[in-house]
Amino acid sequence: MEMNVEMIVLALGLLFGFYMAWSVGANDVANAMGTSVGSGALTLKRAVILAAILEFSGAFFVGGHVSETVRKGIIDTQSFNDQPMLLAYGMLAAMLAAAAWLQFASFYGWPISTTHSIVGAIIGFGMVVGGVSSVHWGKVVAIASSWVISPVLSGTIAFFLFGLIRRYVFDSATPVLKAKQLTPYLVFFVFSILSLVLVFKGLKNLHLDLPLTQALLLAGGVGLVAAVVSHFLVKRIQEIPDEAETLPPSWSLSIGLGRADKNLKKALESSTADMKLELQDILERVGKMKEEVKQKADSEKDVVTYQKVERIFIYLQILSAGFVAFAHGANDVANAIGPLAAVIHIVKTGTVAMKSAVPTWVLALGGVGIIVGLATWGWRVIETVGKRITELTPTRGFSAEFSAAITIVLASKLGIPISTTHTLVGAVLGVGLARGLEALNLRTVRDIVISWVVTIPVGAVLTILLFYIFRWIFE
Amino acid sequence: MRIPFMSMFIASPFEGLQEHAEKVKECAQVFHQAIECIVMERCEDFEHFRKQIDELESEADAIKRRIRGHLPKGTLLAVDKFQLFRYLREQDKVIDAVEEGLDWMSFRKKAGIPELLEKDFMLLAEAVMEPIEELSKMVAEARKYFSNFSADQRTRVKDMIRTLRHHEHEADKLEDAAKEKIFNTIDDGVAVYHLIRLAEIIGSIADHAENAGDMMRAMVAK
Repeated sequence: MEMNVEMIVLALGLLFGFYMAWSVGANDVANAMGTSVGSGALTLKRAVILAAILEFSGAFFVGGHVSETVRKGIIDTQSFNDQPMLLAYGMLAAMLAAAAWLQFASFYGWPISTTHSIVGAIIGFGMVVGGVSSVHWGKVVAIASSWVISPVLSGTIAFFLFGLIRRYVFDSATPVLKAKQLTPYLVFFVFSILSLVLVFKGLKNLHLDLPLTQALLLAGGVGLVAAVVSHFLVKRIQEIPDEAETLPPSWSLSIGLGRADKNLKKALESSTADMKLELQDILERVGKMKEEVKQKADSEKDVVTYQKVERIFIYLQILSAGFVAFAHGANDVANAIGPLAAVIHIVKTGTVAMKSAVPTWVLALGGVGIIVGLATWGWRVIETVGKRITELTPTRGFSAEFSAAITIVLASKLGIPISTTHTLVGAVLGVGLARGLEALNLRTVRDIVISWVVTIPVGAVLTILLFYIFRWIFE
Repeated sequence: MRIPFMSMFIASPFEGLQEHAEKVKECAQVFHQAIECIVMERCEDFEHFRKQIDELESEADAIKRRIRGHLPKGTLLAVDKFQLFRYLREQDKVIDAVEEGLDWMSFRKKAGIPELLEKDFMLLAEAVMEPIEELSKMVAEARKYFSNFSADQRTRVKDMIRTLRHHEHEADKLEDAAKEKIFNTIDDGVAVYHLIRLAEIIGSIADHAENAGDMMRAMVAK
């Protein structure tokens, strides 16, 4: 009988864990890829494939750290030494409560976070069952403050990054040239940080640990190579648009009128007195026309130029979107895998003493769950976001996503579970504050603050309820 | 479907601003035709013009309300929200002035405009058309500026505002000349009052366009 209960608990754990991973993939992946689809940088199919690969890699290679925090950083598992199965029920309850609350909030479109639900759920369970002292309050405070800090941080980075692009590229006389000059530096940053994260922490899972200096050197090297490659790639993009394909018709009209004006002036000099009056009249009219056409031609040429700049940033946007997908996989897989790993460990060993790391196959399971979520539901969300949010052009999208990715990766590295959605909202806001977007609705920010306040108690109460139900069923 | 991220994005008010400016331009064109009609002295379908303006006005009003109504509290814009509203109000006043001008003309339809002053009024009406046309172009360029913030684009908008001011000044001069002529050639007190006021109303069309330009100048300020 005892064996049976454990098997059921294990099966339920796998089910709920997979469900959480599914919902992470279904709901949140749009954050990374939606805007790239919207700006036409990626087709939907490519976006989904790219997201699947990177989400899985993030979850598999770097996901372990955050998972460990979720698993044993929030509550003191030692308080459950005598009754390990209680902890297993609690984790089951936490997963189900978080998933249910998520589903409910999704229905109403509230911006709640998978991360916050699971953290709230675990705190609630720990407080009631293990006692107030079993919760690592210091860690909880650190996690909670990171929720405020992460959007602010990503917003600040986005603000300065877009400000830099605006001042350095848009505000210059040669925007295309400047964009091309800036690209290798940005590519360098993306690649070095990404490889630093991978090398520094991630590859621990595969037992490939490098000392700090070597890791730094390797990351710098990868960044440098990528930067050089990108330098040659953008070099191929032409600065002055080709006459035939992109030059607006008003441009040649303007040149023609300019010539006519010059010739008329010449004619005026050598004309007789009676012709002079008429010529002057014509000259005046041509001059006026020339001014008008030139104005139009200038502004049309500008449009072409900015399209070119955006085209360069398309590549950077794809890069940053991939970066977000990776970071997201790394951070959010923990919501599903953390509690699941705890359940598996308890069922397998019958103890809560957790010295071992999260098993690799569990991380893989989380990664697969995310991919399934993406394939069944997530792509539709990506499509919707892509269609509706056209304001995030590649320059804006890049600024927002790059900043969010850096913040998420930083948090993952510190083992802190943060909300990807909230971080990205912060980043978009940063771009808006740098006057990169025509209009933004700040109510989202208010809704997010409300969700911070509401999600924790709701997750906690639901978990406690479910915990008692599970205990009643299994014992 | 949970897409919280999407609720951040709302329609840009600049689109509406541009639509509104187009309505203003249409109004001014109708006004020009109406003046022409009055001057020709066989204006049988003057009411038709009034109706047209009426329709355009209510359409512009709908756009105006849509812009105001779709900027909820806590909207982050590239420009100050109240600056935007002030701009919109000024642009709307152009239409009001056109409407007032037509009404005013209709009060003394039979008397019309004395032959002596026909040319002056035609010139004045033409002169106020220019800033209105510049206005709609300016809005289009300003919108481009608010999406890329390029220095060149800003200069372009500023140049247009300067041109606008210049046009208004020209219209002002014509208004003054017309007024002087009215006082010195017409003896009928009622006619003088009617014509002076008409010249002022027509002149105010350009004034409001210029004011709108000044508001735009404040919006594109760094």
